[in-house]
Amino acid sequence: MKKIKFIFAFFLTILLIYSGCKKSEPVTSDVPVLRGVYVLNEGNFGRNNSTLSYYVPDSNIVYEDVFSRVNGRGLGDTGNDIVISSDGSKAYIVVNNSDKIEVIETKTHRSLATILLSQASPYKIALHGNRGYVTNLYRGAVSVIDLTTNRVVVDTIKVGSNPTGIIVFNNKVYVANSGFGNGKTVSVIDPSTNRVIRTINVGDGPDAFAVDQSGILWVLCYGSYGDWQNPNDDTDGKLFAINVGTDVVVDSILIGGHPSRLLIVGDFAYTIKNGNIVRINLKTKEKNETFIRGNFYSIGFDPLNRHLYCSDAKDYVQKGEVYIYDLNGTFIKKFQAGIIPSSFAFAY
Amino acid sequence: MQSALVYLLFILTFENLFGQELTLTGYVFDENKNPVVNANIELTQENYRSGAITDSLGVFMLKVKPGKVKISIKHLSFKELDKSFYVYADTSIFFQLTSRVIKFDEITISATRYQSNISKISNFVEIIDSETFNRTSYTSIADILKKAALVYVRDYGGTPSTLKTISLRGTGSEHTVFLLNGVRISSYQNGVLDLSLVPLDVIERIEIIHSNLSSLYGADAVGGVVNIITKTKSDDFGVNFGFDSFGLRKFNARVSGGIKSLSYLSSFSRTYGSGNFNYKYRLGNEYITLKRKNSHFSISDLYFAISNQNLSISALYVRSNRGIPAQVTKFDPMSTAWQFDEDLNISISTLKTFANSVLKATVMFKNSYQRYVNNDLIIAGSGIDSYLRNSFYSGVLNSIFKFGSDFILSSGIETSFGVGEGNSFQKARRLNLAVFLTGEKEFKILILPNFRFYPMLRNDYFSDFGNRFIYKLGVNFEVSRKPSLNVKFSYGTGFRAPTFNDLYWHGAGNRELRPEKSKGYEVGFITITELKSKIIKEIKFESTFFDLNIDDRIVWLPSRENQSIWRPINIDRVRSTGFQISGEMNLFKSFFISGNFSVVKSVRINKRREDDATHNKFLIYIPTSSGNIRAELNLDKIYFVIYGNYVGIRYTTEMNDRWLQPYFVIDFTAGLNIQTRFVNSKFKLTVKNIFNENYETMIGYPMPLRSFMFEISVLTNNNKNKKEQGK
Repeated sequence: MKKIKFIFAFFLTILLIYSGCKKSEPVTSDVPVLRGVYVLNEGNFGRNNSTLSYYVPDSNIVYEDVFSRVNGRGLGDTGNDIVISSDGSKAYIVVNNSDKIEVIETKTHRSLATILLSQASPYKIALHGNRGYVTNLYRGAVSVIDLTTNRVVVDTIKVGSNPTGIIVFNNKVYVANSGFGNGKTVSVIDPSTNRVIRTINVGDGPDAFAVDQSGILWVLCYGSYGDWQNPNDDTDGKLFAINVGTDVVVDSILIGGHPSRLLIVGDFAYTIKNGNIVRINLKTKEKNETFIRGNFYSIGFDPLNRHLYCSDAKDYVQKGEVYIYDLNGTFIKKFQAGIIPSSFAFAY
Repeated sequence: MQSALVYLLFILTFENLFGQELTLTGYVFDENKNPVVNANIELTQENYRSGAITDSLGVFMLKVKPGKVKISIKHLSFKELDKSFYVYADTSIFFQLTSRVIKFDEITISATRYQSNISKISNFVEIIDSETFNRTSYTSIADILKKAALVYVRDYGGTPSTLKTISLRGTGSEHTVFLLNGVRISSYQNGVLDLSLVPLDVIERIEIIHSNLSSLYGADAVGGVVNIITKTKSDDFGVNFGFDSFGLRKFNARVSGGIKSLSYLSSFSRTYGSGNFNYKYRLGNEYITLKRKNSHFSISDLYFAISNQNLSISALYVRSNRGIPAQVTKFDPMSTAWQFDEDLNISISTLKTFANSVLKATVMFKNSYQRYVNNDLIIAGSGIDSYLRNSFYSGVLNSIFKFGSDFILSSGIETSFGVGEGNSFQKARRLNLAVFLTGEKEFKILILPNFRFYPMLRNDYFSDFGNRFIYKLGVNFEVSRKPSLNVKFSYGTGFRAPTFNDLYWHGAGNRELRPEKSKGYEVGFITITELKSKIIKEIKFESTFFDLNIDDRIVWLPSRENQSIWRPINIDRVRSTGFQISGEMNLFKSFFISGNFSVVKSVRINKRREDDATHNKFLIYIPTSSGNIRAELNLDKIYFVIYGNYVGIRYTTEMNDRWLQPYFVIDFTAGLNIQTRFVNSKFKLTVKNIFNENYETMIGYPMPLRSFMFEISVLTNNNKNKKEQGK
């Protein structure tokens, strides 16, 4: 009997081990992999030809214009921003000159909803819980949408002129009031009341945000063009550091020229100036003006594989290309996107 | 000729039976026994030729020698009448002419700057006269121009007031020159003419020359020339009212008359409305019907002309206030932008005739002001409020010498001076001095067909970018006279001047720009035939193949220094190759069909960069094919016109991976004319876009769906029973 018990226990153990092994499989699949990269192509303003490209790194295949292929209609006019929800199931696409946000399912690219923001000229979106905060480029405002019902809950939170960049950090919403170079402020919105609680003075033309590993919020100001007639009265682009506890500017770094886009990885900030990728050491303030030479329009970062995605819009009328580099600036590969690739979202 | 009745009525005396000179008096009248004015009489006798023109009573007088006389009577609106008879005494004869629908010896004054027969020149010319376009309802000159061959009108909003530009032969809107009575009115500011601001009620006719004609008109006449000829007098005066189902109202009143040898014409028009027509918008997977917003307009124009045989003075004032409807790439956009325009145009032209030559002088002054306000685009806390003011003077002195019957030499000096001022560009000035020399020589060599040579030379000096020399050579072969068949060929160069915007726009203008250069050739034929057939009475057919190259084309692209600033540069090379046909046919006397069809391939042939995927692709917003058809049925007092406009695909991306779908829009008009002794009343009902075609000429600017328009005119004749315009 004992022997039988032993044999039973032995088989049970084997079975348990076996079944344990079986169970461990989903655990390995929880390790994230980059399923695909959305590249939102602005298209030409006024021509209704914004497209969404989907790049699958594994197979190195680009699926062009997936939105209209799946949904049978165009995406709209001038897509400016794409952001994926925290659970990874949905992507929010801000289509500026179509005054709308398209919500798609990331697995199928199928349209789930179209949120109309009439006369809002939506530009960038930041997600916070079940709320989306959208800057309104020509209305000096931020609109709030409910991500569950896909409806506008707050039409207008008045901020500065021509707000562009927006980020949610430390339970606050930060808005860059660019004024196309004439603005100088960042508005801070309390998401619980949806009111502006503070306005922080920074440099000319605040445009984009990124957070470093020490919790400092950096804002890129691209400088002022001044009198368009006179190239000598332009002001320089700068980075400003904001302490999000006190919401005061604590540091700044001179970049010069008119930089655009901002990414921070580790101690380094990446931006684009004169078409090149500039890398700035936030600690030493050292700049490498030609970290990657090129004719770049926009950048994105895949945190999983730690790759930089840099888009070249070429002459703005033909299809652009996306170059992938590692953080040492070594070229890995490239693929073709649509007209003016401007925004990236990474689906895991 | 059966229908032409010749009555030899009476012989006055027998006194001069064997004398040297007799007088032949003729009375020319039409089927309704009305005198035909300005008919051209050619008399041929053995060793003797002479000619005359009928006066206001349709009478002509000629000296003849006794014997056989051959008379030929020509008039644009009538069939040619040839008659031979014997005269042995002073004689009076009645001639009855038969009307025709197709004008055989149609005269253009734009192709050479003097009167020439459209069959005998070297280019393809289309003439649209007020008689033709007044049969249908239209709200802008664009409605008239789009019916011509290979003309594409780009309409930014579909109401009578929105910006409309034109493209000829697959070129850009800045490659066509608009003339008003032969003098340039296209703007130096942006190279285009806003077709909404051209007054309609005073247009006599429009001539479209489909050819590279910088050699005659200077800068920008690369795709062609559109000459708008206004009325200097009118046979009638009265009022006209129009109403449309989208709330358009139009009103015109005109008076005309004569004081001694002077005649005058004064006209006032106003067109206004809300412009809020319905359009279809695709929302998700459904089409919904929306109303256009902020498309209201109010355009008024006042015209005055006074003229006698040698002098003509005219003044035109246009004032327009309009909303600028937003682009509907978005759902139901709100817009509050508006534009105000004010144009004043004064021109004086005079003519002096000598034995073998004519001296013509024209001066024109134009002042335009435009203000555009858009508070929807808030930039740095405020909107856009821009203005521009352009003053433009132009003068042409032209002398035309005629040596014998087969050689004409025309030379001239053209000067113009333009000043542009505004808050979005630097103050700009341009002085243009040009000399031109053109000739026409007919050759007859043995049994070869007669051919005419048209050499043209022109030199232009511009104060802001220097000198340009251009030339052109045209040939016309008369293969056959009856039926007429003429082959046309021409080769020439041209150029387009950079505009004030290209050169002086704040922060973007490029002063290093050179003019665009063009060269091209065309070959075609025209045939006009009168048939004995009972079904088809008259046919006219014209066909042209062309090839046009534009070098150093100016394009606005993101600049190297700063990609967010677009600047113009001389970069592209464009080639347009195409084929256009047009024809007219008169069936059963009362039924008239006309139409045209064109195909064009306009591609960019340079590479902007090594890996340029847009190289050799079609230019955007140029239809690959287009055509028009018009059928007209004329009964006694009633007439019906059906008109169809087809436009093929227009690519909307330089990659040619997106396009606007072809469209076919059909309009229908029924008209009724009631003529009483004193008053002539005209009624017209037009159904536009009868099949509700949903289409766009520019992305995001929907065109109106079906609409109805009703017009009524009450006119009184100044001089009853007169036929005008005969040559």
